[in-house]
Amino acid sequence: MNAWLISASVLLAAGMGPCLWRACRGDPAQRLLGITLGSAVAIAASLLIARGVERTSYVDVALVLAVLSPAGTLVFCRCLAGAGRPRAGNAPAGRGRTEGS
Amino acid sequence: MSGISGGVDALVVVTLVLVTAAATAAALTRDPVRQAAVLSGLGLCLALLFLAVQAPDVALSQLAVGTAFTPLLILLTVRKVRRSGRGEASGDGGARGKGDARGDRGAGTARRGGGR
Amino acid sequence: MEARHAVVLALLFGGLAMLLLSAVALLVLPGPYQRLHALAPATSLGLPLLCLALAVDTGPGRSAVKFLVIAALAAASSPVVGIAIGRTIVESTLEEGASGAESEPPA
Repeated sequence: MNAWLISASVLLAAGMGPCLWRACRGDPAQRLLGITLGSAVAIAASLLIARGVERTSYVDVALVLAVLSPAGTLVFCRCLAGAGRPRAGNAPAGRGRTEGS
Repeated sequence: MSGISGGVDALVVVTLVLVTAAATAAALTRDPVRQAAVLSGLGLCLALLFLAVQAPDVALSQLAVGTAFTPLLILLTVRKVRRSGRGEASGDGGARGKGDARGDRGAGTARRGGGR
Repeated sequence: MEARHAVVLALLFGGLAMLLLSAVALLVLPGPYQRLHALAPATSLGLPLLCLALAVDTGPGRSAVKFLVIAALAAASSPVVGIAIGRTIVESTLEEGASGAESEPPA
């Protein structure tokens, strides 16, 4: 039970809960806040786990997460901005209509 | 070695509780757009659980699938369904019966999501 | 060696405190625009402090550079993601206001 694993447990128990709570309630745009902070907490926890169990190859998980989570959040924002629009007057709606017809 | 195993046990318990909470919330969410957000958080917790039980390759593939691909597929499907429903309502897509049924259900979901 | 251990512990607890502060802020702040500010301490201060602690602990080498690359990635992508989420929140709020339920003005 070294300090790194204790830190990872405390971080996951106290930091991931509010992120999940925010990701489970409210508006779809506000759930993105919980997902973003949750991925930051997950990066920190995977780094701490990698140091705690003395395996340096686990750092690759944190690296992949640091690359993938902003990309996923930006894609989420892009799809959300196009999906919730009730009127069809903007550019993505016009593009979708031309590829649909 | 037993010290490391005790720390890993605590970590596995914490991540199991998080995965259970996130999976229950994902099962109780009705709207697909909101469910995509909850599924992204569930994928994150599941990747941490796989890392805690010392399976980093499974954690890597779970990250790629659960964080990026599944919400993207759900959002693209919802967008397509709503758009076909809107096109059917404006009168240029009414030639296929199954498409009409799906479009009606998608429009109902859109109205319910907008009203909530 | 003892001073280095103390520095590592100080950086680790500083980064951990920043991440936990950000999580508590996300939980207690009212309103979406206030909650948008809760992302900043975690990604621009908490993660770099934690990665600096790990890099100091491992010493100079390739793995320390990898930790610093992770910290730089997180700190660089945070403003971009914040701007994108803020724009999405503004658009959804404007849309709700157009349909009749105006909750609060942006910014």
